[in-house]
Amino acid sequence: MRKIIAVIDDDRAIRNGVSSLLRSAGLDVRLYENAESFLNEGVARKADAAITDIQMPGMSGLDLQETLKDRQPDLPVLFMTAFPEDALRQRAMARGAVCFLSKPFNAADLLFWIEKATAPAGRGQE
Amino acid sequence: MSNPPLAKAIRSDSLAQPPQLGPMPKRMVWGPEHVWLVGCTLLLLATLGASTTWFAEHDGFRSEITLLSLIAFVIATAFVIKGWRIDAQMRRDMVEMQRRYQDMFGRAGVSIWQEDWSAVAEAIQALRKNGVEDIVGWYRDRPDEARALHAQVLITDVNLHGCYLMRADNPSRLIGKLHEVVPGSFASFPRWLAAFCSEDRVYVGENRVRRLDGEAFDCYVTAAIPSDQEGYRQIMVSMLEITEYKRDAQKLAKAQEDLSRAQRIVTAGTLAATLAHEINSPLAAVAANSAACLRWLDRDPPDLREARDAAQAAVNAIERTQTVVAHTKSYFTRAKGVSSEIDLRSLINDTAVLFENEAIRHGVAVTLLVDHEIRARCNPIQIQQALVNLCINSIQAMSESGHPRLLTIHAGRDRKGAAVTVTDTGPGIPPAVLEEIFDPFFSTKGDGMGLGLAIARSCIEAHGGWVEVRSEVGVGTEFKITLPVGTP
Repeated sequence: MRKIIAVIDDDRAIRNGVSSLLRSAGLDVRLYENAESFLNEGVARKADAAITDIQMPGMSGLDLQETLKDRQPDLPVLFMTAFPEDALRQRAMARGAVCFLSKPFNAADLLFWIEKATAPAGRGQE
Repeated sequence: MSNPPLAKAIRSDSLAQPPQLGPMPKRMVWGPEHVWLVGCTLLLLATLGASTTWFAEHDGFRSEITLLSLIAFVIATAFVIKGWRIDAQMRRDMVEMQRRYQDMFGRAGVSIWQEDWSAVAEAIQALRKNGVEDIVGWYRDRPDEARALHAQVLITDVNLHGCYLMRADNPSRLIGKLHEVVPGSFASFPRWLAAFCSEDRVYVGENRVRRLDGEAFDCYVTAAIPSDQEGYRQIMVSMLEITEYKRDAQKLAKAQEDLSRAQRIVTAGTLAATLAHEINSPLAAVAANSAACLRWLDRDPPDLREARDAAQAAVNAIERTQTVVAHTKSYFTRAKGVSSEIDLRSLINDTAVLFENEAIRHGVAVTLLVDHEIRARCNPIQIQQALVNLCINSIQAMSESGHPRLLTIHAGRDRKGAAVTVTDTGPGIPPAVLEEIFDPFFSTKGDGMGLGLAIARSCIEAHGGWVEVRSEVGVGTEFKITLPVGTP
């Protein structure tokens, strides 16, 4: 069965770019323009990993991570941001993020971390 | 920065009531010399009368005339005694006045120098007789003659406070030729000439003077200019030390400069972060789509439709990046603010104050050569910003220069518009980097952000003007700003 990756970003160009990249790697992709719409649907869908922006209208990526910790502690969360501040990075990594990528990021890096997060041994590494 | 508050305070004090040191009006006073004269004449006449009658043969008149002579003799003696008393009183008064004068001069809390400028006064009078009107200009064109004349100015006395100020153990060490005792005094000579020739009869100036022990200090110098030729033999010059005050003013200016520099860095940092976000987001889309495009093409068989979509998305994202850059640029161009018709001369004078302290700190002498009014339509804040950036750049470039550090700002008009040139005697810019100096973030200074010249150029270009640079290594650099006349 193909792995399902949730992509959460308010920037459509990035959503579509990441989608194309992940699909080209044989992954199934679900796109959400904000954290709320993902939470409404994503939990039921049982995504294998979530890659999210941090600064978004409404719930931020870090708040989403917090919420997911209660609802779905096993879901690996990856971050990508254009404000790669150290404080944000430390907070995200301390709460068990798989990775913290700065935009623009290397496509190979993203695929590497997705692979690592969704591989059976990579699960539950928090 | 100069010290307008103090200067103003002193000026208003001393000028509130302009000192009137004209010649004393001559009044008729019965002085001791008159009483003496009358007394002595009467005494002489009485003696003469008495002796002639004594020896005369006319017997009948002898006793009457002798009596009259005796009366005259008594009156004359009374006059003589009276005269002697008045004289003694005057002498006592004189001594008292002299003592009080000595007290005032000697123990006053300000330093007072008594100087003899009579040679200068005579020279001015002679020139005027020969029809010279612009005395200051005449001597400016003849520096040797000016020096020779200045060398004739004498210091004839200095009070106790003056000795203290100069660290002299007694006044005799300060009495002599002004240019020998105060070596830097020639610098203010044109100012003195101007004061002698002006109507307000007051000399006010700031000087840097070296004490006998070699230490330099700043002082505020004032003097009342006499109206008669004789008064020039004794001009009382007062000197007030303002070193501390100037130092404080400089410290304050430095703190302000540091603060505004810090603010500029914070502003630039915020701006950079915003721009980075606006550009990095579409770049992330470009990166993801390009990588995806390659992966679709590398598939077996290649998925051309997906590859094409990804490539198109990458192109779209690149266009978005270009839009961000174009918007940013037009934002700064639009932000040029309110333009008005201004006089570049006063703008330059105001601007010079802003970097005066930087110049002092780096030992740079600043000369402004703007003879007449130059009108231009521009946003004064932006042009001032450009000028400050160019001048500070030049001043800092000279900070390690061995030869005289001179910054000259010249403004004038030429065919293309109003032109302002900033010339320094710094190390010069090697031809290899001359092209790059206006690029943002290009800096040769360890702590520089490399935005000064870039901002200067964008301010000028926002006015439809341009900046040219000419430089010779080891000689110096010249920046020339041209503002087209009648630009909006």
